[in-house]
Amino acid sequence: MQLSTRPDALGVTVDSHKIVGKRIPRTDAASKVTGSAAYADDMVLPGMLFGIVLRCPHPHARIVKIDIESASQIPGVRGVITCLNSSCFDSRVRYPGQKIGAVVAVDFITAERAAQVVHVEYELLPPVYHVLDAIQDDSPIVRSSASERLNNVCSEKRYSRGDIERGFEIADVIAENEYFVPAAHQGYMEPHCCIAKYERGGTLRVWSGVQGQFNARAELARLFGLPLRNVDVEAPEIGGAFGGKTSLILEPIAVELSKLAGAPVKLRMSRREELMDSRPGPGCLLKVRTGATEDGKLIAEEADIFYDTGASPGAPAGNFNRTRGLYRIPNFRYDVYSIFTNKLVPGPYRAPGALEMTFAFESQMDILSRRLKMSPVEFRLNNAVNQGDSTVDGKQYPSIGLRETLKAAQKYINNLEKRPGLGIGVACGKWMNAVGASSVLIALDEDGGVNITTGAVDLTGVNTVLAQLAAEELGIPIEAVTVITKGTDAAPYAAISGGSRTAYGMTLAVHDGVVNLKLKLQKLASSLLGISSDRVNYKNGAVHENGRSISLIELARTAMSSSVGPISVTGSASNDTWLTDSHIFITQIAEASVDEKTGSAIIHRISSFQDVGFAMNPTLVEGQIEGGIVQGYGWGMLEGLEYHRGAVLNNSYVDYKIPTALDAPEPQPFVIEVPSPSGPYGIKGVGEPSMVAAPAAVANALFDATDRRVYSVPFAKRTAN
Amino acid sequence: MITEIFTYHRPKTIAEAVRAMKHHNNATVVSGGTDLMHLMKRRLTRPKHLISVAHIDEICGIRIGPSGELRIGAVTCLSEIACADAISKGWPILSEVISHVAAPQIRNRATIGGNLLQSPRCMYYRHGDFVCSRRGGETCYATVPDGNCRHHSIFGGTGCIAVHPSDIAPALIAMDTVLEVAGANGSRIVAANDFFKNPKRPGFRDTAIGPGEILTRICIPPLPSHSRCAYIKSAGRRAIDFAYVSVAVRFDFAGDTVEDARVVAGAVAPTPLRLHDSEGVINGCTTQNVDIDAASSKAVAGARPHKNNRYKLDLLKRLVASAVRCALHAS
Repeated sequence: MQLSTRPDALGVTVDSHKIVGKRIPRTDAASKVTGSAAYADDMVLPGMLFGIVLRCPHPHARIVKIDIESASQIPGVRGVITCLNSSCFDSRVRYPGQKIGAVVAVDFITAERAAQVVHVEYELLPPVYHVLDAIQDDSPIVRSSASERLNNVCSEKRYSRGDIERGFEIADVIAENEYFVPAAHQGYMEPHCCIAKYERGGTLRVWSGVQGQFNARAELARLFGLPLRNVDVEAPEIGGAFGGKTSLILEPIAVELSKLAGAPVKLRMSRREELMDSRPGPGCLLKVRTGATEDGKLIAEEADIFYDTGASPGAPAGNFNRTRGLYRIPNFRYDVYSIFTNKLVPGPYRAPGALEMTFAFESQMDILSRRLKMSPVEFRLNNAVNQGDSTVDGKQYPSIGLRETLKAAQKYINNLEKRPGLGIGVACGKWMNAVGASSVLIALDEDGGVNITTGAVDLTGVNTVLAQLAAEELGIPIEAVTVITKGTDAAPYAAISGGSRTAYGMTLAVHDGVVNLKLKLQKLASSLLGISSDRVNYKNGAVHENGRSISLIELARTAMSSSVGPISVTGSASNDTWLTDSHIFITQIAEASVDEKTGSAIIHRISSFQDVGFAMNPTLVEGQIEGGIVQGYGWGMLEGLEYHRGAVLNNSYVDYKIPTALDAPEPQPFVIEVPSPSGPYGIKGVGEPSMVAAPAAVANALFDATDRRVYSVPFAKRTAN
Repeated sequence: MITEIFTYHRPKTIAEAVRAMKHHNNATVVSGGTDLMHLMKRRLTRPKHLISVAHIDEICGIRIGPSGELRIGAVTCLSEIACADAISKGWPILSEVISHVAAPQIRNRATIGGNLLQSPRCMYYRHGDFVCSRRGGETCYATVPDGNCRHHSIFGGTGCIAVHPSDIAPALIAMDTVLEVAGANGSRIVAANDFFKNPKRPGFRDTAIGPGEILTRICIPPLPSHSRCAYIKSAGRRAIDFAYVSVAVRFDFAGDTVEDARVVAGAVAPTPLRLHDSEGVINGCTTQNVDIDAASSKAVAGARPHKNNRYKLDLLKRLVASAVRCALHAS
């Protein structure tokens, strides 16, 4: 549902929209639902070999000896790599499940059999599992500390403003609580899989479902000492990612094995390996103190936030400014720590860092609003930031929509039928997206067809959106535009598809390309008409001059036989600093009650009021929001990795509980459009924010329904405490 | 990944299957395979011979026996049972219970015999890297001080404290079900209530099935016309999940009086557990004067929860109360 009429943006009048803002089906929908879309694991190369990764079962150990003799002698085995002959592996093991080597063989079964007979001797080292234990003076050392005061600190950063002590002195109500959010897997359907083909002479081709082809290329080139031009990375179809496919997990190992065996090598992870050693969202412990005055104004807030980054850097501790800064708080201090432990290494998960922050801080808002006897929406509106207010790191907000989302949510609550036992919870969230250096190649066919080549991986239907933008701007039917993602050898550079930036950054690049294309067409038309190019004007699929016009199709055909030649252009976009762009706010409402028979919580519905700037394709936008709601609900209600001495215990989808269709609340997207100053048509990033406030909204709804507050995710987990 | 080579046998009769079991060392019976394949992939079991009984006609399907009893072949798939008219008319609780098992695709494949014979869902046992007591190791990791026993027994257990995961078993016990087992010496019957065993040592059996024996039939007597049943399950998810706690009850009425009460709990002990104390509170009471609080309090008599599964005490009490209420007042 769209709540607002679209205001003008970038001087484009509302009436002129024919294709943008319309519900156009995804161009890749048919291939995905019919099963014809090809993923990395569908690919078979001639002579291809198969690899299996060896893993250590111990939380902390040093490898003393590896015996690969019997593994190497198994017929069909083509090689074994370990820390002794490959820089992919470390002889010090810091978490259960860490990769310590790999076997390559003629098929997966042979490789797996060989892996079972690799004998490793370890010297066990003392482990540490909990962030608060790891910072102690007497803790075992996982890695050297970035802090002089505390052990095992990976990073620490303080955000502060005003006088925090004075702030709490003035406060009439103070809430002080501790919150915990466990690590959660992204739950993409396609496990990691890749194929590497290293050719003598130093060229490398990799097929892998990565989110950023060019990032992967740069990293592989660096690891193997190759110039970028010698490395080609191509992402086939990708079966979900949600941030989990931003880092290289298997690719370097596949390259090493391919180098060793002189043949292409495929590696893929089982679901068990996925849950034990991919890059899930991180666990986080938050101690938060928030104060407000009796007139309902926030006056002070402080927090110590401890991310569990496991054995290596990976937790999104640096994202704090992307996720906070929803309210005017004159005095604050936030210390964000990332702590090493003997557990797996986390990574980005849909709005990295936002969900755990939002759960804690928005629970605090709920607690304070109740103490102040204000409605949760009123309390938030009383403190909500607006254009011109400061971000957490002291910048000024451009036009933002937090207040609009809150007002829409209030209207929704007012119209809800209040049944006895029904709890309603409110939570707000924030995210921030950037442009990301991006370019596209636009080539005009001789029949007027427009081919756009992009290097950005299409995770969310973004290629459909790019076609919409090009068709709208060129005044041609959407069927005349084709957008194809190519690998790094064939496509111009594009930043990673992540951070909700893809539609935003890539439409900027396409917009730039279309401007260039129009200029070229105008130049050609003016030379054909024998007039100067400033007298012609491109509009609605043709170049016009004083009543005369030449269509795009005619120009495309004529170009071939003119001195101009075939027409192609590029379009580029970037911004000088990552993360300076569009600020996205949402308000989410959860409706909860308790099943009297079992005492279980029932979350009936979660509604998301999200400022999307401009819904370029409302169907896709709503799809993103619905998916985000369910994913956020899943993490809050059911999911979370459980550990025993550093090892992930719930390493199957029976024990790691992603919500089923029967569990998911009805997701209800409400699209709000407060245009961004720089996105084409005012668009903002959409993909990630819908996830972030769902657990907080559910927790607040559960309190409303039961008078009992949950401080620890997942809420359905039954414990003695 | 299953890396062991095994031989797959497909006997056509029970006699052939029993012979195959006797003839081969390290043989395992398979029907739907929904549990066994997982155990094999994780190398928790490494059979050399799989004796498939899925295609043996004599133990497949549903019929009504001469005394009106329901006779279900052990390899009948769950969805077939849930849909059978005879069952929704005569034993509707069974259809109800089956709707709580896994999800439709699994119910199309999984058989009722396999459901009763499945291995526990303990995360340590299933993990792969923990050689726990069930796998022949020395430790039950759920019981160590930093162990996770959220889903484990609150009524003790020796060696392994994993609970029996079946949704169906408690209801079968409540209905006085009898199980038929075939072996080299012919077939024998075991009451469902005596079928499940508390494992004592590594390599133990969780059931009364002996070496080389095959579960062939599930026989449920006709329910008296004045009988009412209820089943309530609490789990993290509403599909594809195993119970935190489940409770099946069956009350036989004489007029308004509960003449014979069965209260059976699942997922609270290594076996499904008849709650005789709760039954005692209910027997002889009328629908109006059953002391539901007392019945539910008695449900946890003798329970010895661990540090992180104490929640099961309240949950068991609540589910017993809810199930009793349902059976007393259902129309």
